[in-house]
Amino acid sequence: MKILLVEDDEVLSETLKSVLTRHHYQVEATGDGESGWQLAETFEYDLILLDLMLPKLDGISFCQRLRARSAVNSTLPNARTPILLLTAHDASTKRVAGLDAGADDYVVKPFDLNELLARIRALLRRRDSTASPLIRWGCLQLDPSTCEVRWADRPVHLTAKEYELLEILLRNPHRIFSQSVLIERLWSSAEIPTENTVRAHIKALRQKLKKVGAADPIETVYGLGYRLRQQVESPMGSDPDGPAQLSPSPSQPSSDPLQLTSDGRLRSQLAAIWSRHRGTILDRVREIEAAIAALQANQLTPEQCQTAHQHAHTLIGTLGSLGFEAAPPLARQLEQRFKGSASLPASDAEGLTQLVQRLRQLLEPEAVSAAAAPIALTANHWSTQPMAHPSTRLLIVDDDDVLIQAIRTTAVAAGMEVSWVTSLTDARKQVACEPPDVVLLDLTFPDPTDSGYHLLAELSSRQPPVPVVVFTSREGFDDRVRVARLGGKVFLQKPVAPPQVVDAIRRTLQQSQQPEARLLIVDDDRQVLELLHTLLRPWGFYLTLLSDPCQFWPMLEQVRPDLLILDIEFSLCGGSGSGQTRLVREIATENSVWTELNGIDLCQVVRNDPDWANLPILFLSAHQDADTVHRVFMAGADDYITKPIIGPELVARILNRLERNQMTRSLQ
Amino acid sequence: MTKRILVIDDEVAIREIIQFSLEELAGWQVLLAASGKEGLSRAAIEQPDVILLDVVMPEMDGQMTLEQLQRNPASQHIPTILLTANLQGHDTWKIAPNSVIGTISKPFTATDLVAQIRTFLNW
Repeated sequence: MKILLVEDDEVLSETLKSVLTRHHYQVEATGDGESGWQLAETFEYDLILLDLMLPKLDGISFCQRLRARSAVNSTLPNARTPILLLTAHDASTKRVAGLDAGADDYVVKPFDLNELLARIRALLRRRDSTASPLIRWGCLQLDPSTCEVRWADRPVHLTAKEYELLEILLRNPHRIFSQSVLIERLWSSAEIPTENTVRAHIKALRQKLKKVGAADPIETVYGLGYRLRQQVESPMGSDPDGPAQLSPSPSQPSSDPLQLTSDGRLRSQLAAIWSRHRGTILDRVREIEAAIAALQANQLTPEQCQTAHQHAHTLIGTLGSLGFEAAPPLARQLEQRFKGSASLPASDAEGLTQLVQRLRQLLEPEAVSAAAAPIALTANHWSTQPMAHPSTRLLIVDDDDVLIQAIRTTAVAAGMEVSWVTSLTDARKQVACEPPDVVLLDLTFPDPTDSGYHLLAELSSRQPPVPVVVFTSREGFDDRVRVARLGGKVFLQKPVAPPQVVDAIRRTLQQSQQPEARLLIVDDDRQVLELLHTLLRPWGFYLTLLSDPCQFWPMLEQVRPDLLILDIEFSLCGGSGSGQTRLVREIATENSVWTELNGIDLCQVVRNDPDWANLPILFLSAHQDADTVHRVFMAGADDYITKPIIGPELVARILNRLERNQMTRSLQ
Repeated sequence: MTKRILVIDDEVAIREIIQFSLEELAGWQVLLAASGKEGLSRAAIEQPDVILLDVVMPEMDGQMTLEQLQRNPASQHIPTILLTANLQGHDTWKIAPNSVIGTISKPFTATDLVAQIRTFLNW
């Protein structure tokens, strides 16, 4: 999807561009209405994001021109492209004029990023339904008007049901479809499909796609159904959409781990290309480093500057396309700094060194840079610290220049990406556009009606909350209590040295990040599993949701979760032959019949195993009677939550358990 | 008939990535040129179905190459897609709209590359 962004505010434009690109949109950005118009005249876009107040040609005139032209000739580019206006909040008459001039929708600045994305999707959906263009997934192409399916250039011949299955998955890319829902949607009541019908059709569909060399677009979500496989953004990088995964069925016949899909071939080929040209590419990095060293010594020549600029420019494209996802932003910054002439101040050398070091670390992770940076940093111990987190975003909200500069330098040296605003209003704008990972907040600002406390409260009540480190010259105990009540993580009293501030920030981040937490949830009610998925996904957990308790033990061993959530009662075990677990065998030998497995059994079995004795176990149940609760805790559970499930409470208890477990483990 | 694509880019890694991506994912035939000059002669001789042209190249850059391609009757008609790492649009160019049918940003993924080429050419 190609978006034309016409916005003269450079910061906003950059932010939007980076966010939209992360969401898989292709963005062409320009800063004035006239060049935006030229682009719109020449190239076709799927959507146009248009600021109203623009130099050279304002937004309203742009809309009028575009619609007038299209009325005359509807084959011209962008005749039916939706236009989404970006408007200031006090411009309602302009908004009306904009809509009347032919825009389709608007968002008001400062806007919520999620809202913008949702509106973009809505406009694109609307366009889709009227134009019915091709639906794509990778090289797979589905034409709803002719019901033709192609992979790359090759046609794929599907039966009607196979086509419908594929279409419904492609049209609802994030939705998991259970077998019963698929039957409901795709079969009429006159046709009575057998139990294995859906599975059989999916298998046939997969086989036909495999025959033309296609990657498998269907993901089997264990215990829940099928879903369109989410495309990975870069071949060697990780999925930017977050780590929540539902693991595939272990008995799925077509998931042969030795089979190389075209994704795998791509990945290995890119790796081969990288190793072939690594030397040349690293040479470029070296030349950039040489330029920085020359700059530091005040000996940078215009030629060196130009070369560094060119190399940085090339690296953007090459490294990014090879799969080094984090490289292009670094290379772009380097490119920007070396633009123009050699009139760079020598003090810039420090920041530039940080950038190029981070770039090197991406390309040569095994070469630990033990050697100190060519520049002496203020505190020696920083040079040997490992990076905090590849892309930790710190937002500093304070109007004290001098102090902030020092903190910024220290934070950048620690590997953080630092943004700085001096007012609460700017802070809110920044947070709305691109939520930081952590905020450093002063409490006192000139405006008597607004204070840091308000922002603190707002940040803590976001879902998920943004951790805040407060620093202030206020001395009262009352202030500390207030900050704690409002959710602040750390209270620093000014004056405070920059290394201490950055240290506090890192500690806060470590505490609030649970990047590796794996949860295994067992409940035979699929609706509960879907609900838990929705609740827990935004928190960044790796989720495994299991509805068949007979598969519990193999799942446990495979997933190796950090925390287990169990329902108490399950309905009778289905008992597929290959699903014999040792658990069921034990019970079966005792009673020699299939018996009811319940969560308490699972809990006891887990506690009996020395490997898993310390696994935190939470129970979820509708039962509230004292007897059940007693049994649950006697079985070794750590916590018990009654249904209906209250999201924030559940999350809080999970995080609490995980933290406690982490602490116990680190003490051992 | 298999589609034939001429890639003009001075960066060898990019040429290899594009070649592999298009041949592997789409089954198209890829011709390579390492400079504007080489690209001009290859285009005229081989008559590819489309040209992927890098914008920033030493000696003869994308703009000059495009102008020369336009001047040669043997290559005038071949549609061109620009490859660029630039964030801003190319509003300072005097683009000949007939031949340039689109722009692809670097960095790109293989699947995106194929998808965009298909979109621009309606393949």
